[in-house]
Amino acid sequence: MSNPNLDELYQTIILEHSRNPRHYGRIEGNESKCVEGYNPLCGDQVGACAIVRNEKFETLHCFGQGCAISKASASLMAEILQGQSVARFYELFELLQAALKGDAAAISKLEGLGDLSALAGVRRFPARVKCATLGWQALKEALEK
Amino acid sequence: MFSRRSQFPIFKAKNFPKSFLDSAASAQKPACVLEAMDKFARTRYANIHRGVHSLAEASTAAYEGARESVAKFIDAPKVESIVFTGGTTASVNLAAFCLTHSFVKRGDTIVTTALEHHSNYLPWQRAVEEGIQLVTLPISLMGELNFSALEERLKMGAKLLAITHASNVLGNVLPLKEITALAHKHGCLVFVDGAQAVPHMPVSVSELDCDFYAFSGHKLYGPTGVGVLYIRSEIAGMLPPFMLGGGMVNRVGENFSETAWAPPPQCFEAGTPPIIEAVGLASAIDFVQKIGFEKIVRREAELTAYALERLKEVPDITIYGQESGLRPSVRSLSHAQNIVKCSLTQGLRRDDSGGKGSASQGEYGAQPQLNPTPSGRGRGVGDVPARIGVISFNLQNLHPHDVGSILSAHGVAVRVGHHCAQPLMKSLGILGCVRASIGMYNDESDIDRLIEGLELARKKLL
Repeated sequence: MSNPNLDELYQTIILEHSRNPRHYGRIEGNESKCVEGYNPLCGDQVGACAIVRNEKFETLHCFGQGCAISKASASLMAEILQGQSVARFYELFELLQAALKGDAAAISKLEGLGDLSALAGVRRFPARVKCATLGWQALKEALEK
Repeated sequence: MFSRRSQFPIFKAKNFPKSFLDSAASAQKPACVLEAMDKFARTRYANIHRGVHSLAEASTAAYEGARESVAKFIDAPKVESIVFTGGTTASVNLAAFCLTHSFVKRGDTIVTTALEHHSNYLPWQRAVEEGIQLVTLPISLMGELNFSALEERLKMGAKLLAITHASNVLGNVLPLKEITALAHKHGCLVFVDGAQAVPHMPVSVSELDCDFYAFSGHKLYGPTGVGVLYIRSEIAGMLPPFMLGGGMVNRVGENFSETAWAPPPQCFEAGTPPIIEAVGLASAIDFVQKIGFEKIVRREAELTAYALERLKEVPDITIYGQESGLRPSVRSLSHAQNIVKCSLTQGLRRDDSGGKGSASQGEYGAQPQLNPTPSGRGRGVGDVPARIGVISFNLQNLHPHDVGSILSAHGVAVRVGHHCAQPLMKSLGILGCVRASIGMYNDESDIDRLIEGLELARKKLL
């Protein structure tokens, strides 16, 4: 029960994304698939909307209310996967989940992924892992709807 | 210094938070409680009410002794009124099942409030599935109940009021005696969730005149896994059993309808009860009573007032509920008038005649008294605070989980989120908040560290 360094959790990139989430807001219209993720622990509602064409995200948005971690993580997801393939999303989500569970190989991979590496520190705060995956889980559900 | 930290071994544990301000979720356990359970398990433990061997007799005596401790502790007129459960939640579920299968019928109304913990809300909400109407009374931003709204519902013939004694979020103490009197005037039964109240003030179910009173051991510095449901004795015998099994039946018939149940409280305690935990609860009650509620109430009010003063100085803070711990509200003033003041120790030496009377069949077979006359035998419970040391707040638009993580890194343990009170969060117009709650081991240094932590959170996140 050590007290990990707070700076690992609240890295500049996370605070910045949480204050100014990118690609924020629901996408209206029939083309978009939206799912709102819900964290029963805190009542957070962070979701994702995607318009997928040819297995690629033509548009990917995050939306909702949440803590710094859940908002920043969803915002990073929307930014990084814009125009990318759906397969890449699954790949990154798996990597993120493994890293947050403490998988050393996944952590080292995640740490090589630019801004996304900011999420690696969340693993030291087990109570916050759900926050970091809330938007991702919502997008997965949206894609499988 | 009042702080009793030295009596709680966990404060010596490696990496234990420097300031534990989460006792409303669950309180820490003093050494005497742990030792009492350990000693009992090592020397006297066996299943109760089962064997004729001496160990079973010793165990039964300890368990029934715990029941007597609880009865005295909450000033229950009869020891048979005390049912041991797994905790407050189990107590509410038991009462909800029994009531919705007896007194409260299809088409009847149950009244509750927007202040309730989910455990005193969901079991009643399920009754809607049985064709029972549930009305949730709104509360003010201060957590106060609108008496005329309540009376209106009572006049419309509500059968049951399920209400908390003290809010687990706002910390305000409800004027239960007045509420109960009003409900009874209209023939409405009253169920009280006392989980938050019992550790912080003297409670007399005789004074309150409620029909049901539920609380947990673990918030009262006792163990987890044990709780209490007080049921007014005139009503207990009229209720059907909830869980069925061993120890709660007199004679098993060929058919279910021929089966005869044991008298209360056994009929509500199917299966092996939390025996070791009940012994631990009795020890916790003894521990609290040795300190005395006079001291506990005074000291916690002082510390709560200090916390409120310090918190009010924090920029960007919104404190929910009453911001003062000491200034009595109009409501609590009138409440105070109803409280006979006498010392707790005096009260405990009260004449117990009739208190241990056995339940005769006739009594339990009597018609339910929906308008019980005031018994007038309450022991007088001393001062009741207007609020307990539960303080909820938010820092500007910062998310409670972010504030909680920063406080945790600073060595301060608080609860964050909706506190299992989503209807209340909705009333307050928030998704969640940070809650600091005081136990008997806290002192000013804990509040100071909380304030430092909040400064840190502001610096880091705003």
